[in-house]
Amino acid sequence: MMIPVLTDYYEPGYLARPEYETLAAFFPNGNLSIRKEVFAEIGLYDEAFNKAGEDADICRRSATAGWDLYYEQGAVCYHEARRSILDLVRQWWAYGYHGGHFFQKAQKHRCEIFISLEARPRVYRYSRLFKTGKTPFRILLFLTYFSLSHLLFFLALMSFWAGFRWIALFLGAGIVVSAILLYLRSPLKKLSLRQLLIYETMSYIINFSHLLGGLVGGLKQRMLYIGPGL
Amino acid sequence: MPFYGAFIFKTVFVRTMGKTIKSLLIAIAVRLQFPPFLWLFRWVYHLAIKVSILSIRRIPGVKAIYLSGSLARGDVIYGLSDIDFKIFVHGRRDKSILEAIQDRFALLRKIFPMLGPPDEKGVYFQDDFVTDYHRYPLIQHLFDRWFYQHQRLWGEAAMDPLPLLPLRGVEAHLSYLWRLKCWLEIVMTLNDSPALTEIQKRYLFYKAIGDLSLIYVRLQDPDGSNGGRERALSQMEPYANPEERGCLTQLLKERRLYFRKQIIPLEASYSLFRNFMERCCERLEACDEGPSSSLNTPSLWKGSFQIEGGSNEKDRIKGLCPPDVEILVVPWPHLPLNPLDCKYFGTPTYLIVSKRPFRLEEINRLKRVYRSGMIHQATVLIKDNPHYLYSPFSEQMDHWLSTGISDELTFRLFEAQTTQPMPSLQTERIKERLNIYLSQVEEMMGKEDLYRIDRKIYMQFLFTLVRSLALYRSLLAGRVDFPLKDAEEVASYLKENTPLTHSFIERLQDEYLAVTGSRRPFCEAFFKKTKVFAETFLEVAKTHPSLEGLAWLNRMEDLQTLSISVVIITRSRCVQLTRCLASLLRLDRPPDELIVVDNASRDATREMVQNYQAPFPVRYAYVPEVGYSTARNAGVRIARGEVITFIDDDATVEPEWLTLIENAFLRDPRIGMVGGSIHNMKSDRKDLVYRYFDLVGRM
Repeated sequence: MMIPVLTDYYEPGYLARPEYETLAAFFPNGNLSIRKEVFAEIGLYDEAFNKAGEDADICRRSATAGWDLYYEQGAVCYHEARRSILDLVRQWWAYGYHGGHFFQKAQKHRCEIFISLEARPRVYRYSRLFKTGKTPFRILLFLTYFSLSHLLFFLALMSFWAGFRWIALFLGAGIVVSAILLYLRSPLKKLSLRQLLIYETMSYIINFSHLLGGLVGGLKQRMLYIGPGL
Repeated sequence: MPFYGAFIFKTVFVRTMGKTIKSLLIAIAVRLQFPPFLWLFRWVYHLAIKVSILSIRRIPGVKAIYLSGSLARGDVIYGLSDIDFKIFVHGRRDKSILEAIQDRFALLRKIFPMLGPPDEKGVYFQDDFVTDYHRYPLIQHLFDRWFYQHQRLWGEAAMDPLPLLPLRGVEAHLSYLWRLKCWLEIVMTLNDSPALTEIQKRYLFYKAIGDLSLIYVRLQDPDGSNGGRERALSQMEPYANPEERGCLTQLLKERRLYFRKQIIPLEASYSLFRNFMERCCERLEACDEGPSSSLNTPSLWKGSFQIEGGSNEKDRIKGLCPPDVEILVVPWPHLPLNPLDCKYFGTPTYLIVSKRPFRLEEINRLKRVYRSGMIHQATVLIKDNPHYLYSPFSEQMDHWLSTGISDELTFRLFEAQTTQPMPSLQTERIKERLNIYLSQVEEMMGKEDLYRIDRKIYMQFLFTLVRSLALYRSLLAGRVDFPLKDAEEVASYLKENTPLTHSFIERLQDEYLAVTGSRRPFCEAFFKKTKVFAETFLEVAKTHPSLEGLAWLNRMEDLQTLSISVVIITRSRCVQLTRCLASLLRLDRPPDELIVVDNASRDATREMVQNYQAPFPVRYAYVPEVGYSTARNAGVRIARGEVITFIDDDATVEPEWLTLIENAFLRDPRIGMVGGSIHNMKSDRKDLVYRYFDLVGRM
């Protein structure tokens, strides 16, 4: 259940055109060039984004103001990997923490739930998020496989505890079967067992810190926010 | 599981995504031109229009409902046909009636998302309209019966008793000519525009043919069954030639085929169309009737405006609906708007590039026009305009730049080599360009029929003059950040050598108007003055090459260079930063300045940056508050380049990195941001994090 927008994210060439009014594309700050006139029109970086997310915010704002974003594939920069797991956790915590504020600035409806079973959900495809208008309390859930399976696992535990063994078994089987189905569809199939282990461990750590950061940051913004994760 | 599936589908999918799916379906249907969908939507569109007529005529006070465009069955195609309502109301402006109409439309648009936005613009209160009619050429033209077809759908005849002024012969002629020329330009640019999708290209192209055929029909119809026709026009027969008529017929046939989804090769049609249009333009020009007395001649400058909070924001389907407002800006403020040059169709914003600085008074005038009864909320966002000399944004920007360093922020600034001159290459290019202009002016002065000069070159030249005046003014006001000594010198130099005053530039404008507008005999003195001015600037470019001044000159001359400031945010990462700076030295195109923003480092970053030897200016700023965006803002505030490039302190770049970024920006003035790809840096590390990143990079 995805809502694809007509242009694809990260396609070389133009990304957001004026007629695609609210489609926000996103470039990370590591390799980003901005015209000074853009700042003159939409203002400087939002200083509320202290640790992360300021790039996503400025990209969204400038695309909404009608500037084109252009992805130049050849302009390569090499970025060093994080020094330690703690760094990585801190980083993804910050993404989650500021994600709530980012979506709050743009979210239109009071409650939005997005279900995506992609391996890597691309938030910027969901154009409905990027519309202006404000409501006081918000719920914004990106139900990826990570958060959905945790939710189901929690439900299974509760029903087991309450005595509904069959339902618990059913839910547990659902988690396992969907995991296998997803694995068979995803590019992870090509990896060796060792590589798969590395990948899964790290993405679990990342997703978990992102989720926690999103919950904490979202509470600060008076919203229930479950981030899209990796 | 099926139970859960149905439940989830009902609660989540249908409730939250129903709208999107609906609009997506519509978009797909329109884009694919799939016949059953097309018939369905055509039918729904018909129904929508009829229902809206029914509901609006019940509002007390509404006198008549008109429709522009055709309601014939074949013409109503959802997303592709322009149908505007025009509603006449008794008496003076009454907010309650207006709101009632808007409410009806808003309600109807929930059911029929295809109902367009123009209803708010198309409500006319009869008394106001009659009194204001002569003042607003916009209204005058919208009701020009000789160009648009208005069908009365309901009510008494409201148009006929109005004191409508007919288009005079010459004006009508010019507007046809202008329209043809405009389409010609657009279709020529279609060939090499990488940004338009195929479907948009086709759409524009067939739209052009439709417009052409409209003009054709008007010209072919001497009895005036379309609402009348001028005598002057009846005398010339641009399409009388059977060859040309055959050409047009074939184009129209292609258009019909297109709408039946039998798509024909486009290249051949382009050339056919171009030939035909060119011939039409020649013919029309050949039967020119002399100078126009009115100032309603079509202007060469175009701009597109988006009114914020427009009504169609909610249900706009991507790429298919027109912008809220799209108008041409007339170059000089005392000229009226010419709304005939508006193009309310699919995606016109793309084709209109305005390089002219807007003035504040002009923007205010636009707002006034729109407030006069067309649109009620008039926040004007300027797009397509890379020059902010006169726009209100420039002052805001200047304010940020001037006060940001001293008052708002408390970081200390250390400049290593700021007074270094720019690379001589750019200076050379500027000189070349100016020399070309000078020679062109000399050529022009030699000619006898000066009003037939190449308009494009002449416009460029005039832009140079007006912008250099702006430079001069901002120099005097101390707004441009020249090195102080240079600024004084340049200002005094300009003062001595050119007669630059406000009245002088106004006279320039008037004379230019005389040339392009009414074709009076051209003043040679004007060219002489402009030549003197250009020579002065050549001198300035030779003697005072500095960063800011060259940035201004670059803009003036549309030179293919940009000044780029590279900004690096760092915090206690001296080793990585050294590596990053070393990679910057290997760039093919060195940055015009490098700014290292130190975000409260606790190691030897400052000393490292001070000892860094580079062929470009390096500046160091210290920001005591920790925070990414704070540091970035500090970097933006002190950067002087036209483009600000951010790079992380723990990254390295390829040698062609900055060249590619510059080229990307030069593709289009409306590209505001350019992003590059980020790869994982190879190293010997064996830890889990590195392995993970390596794995993801290879996947």
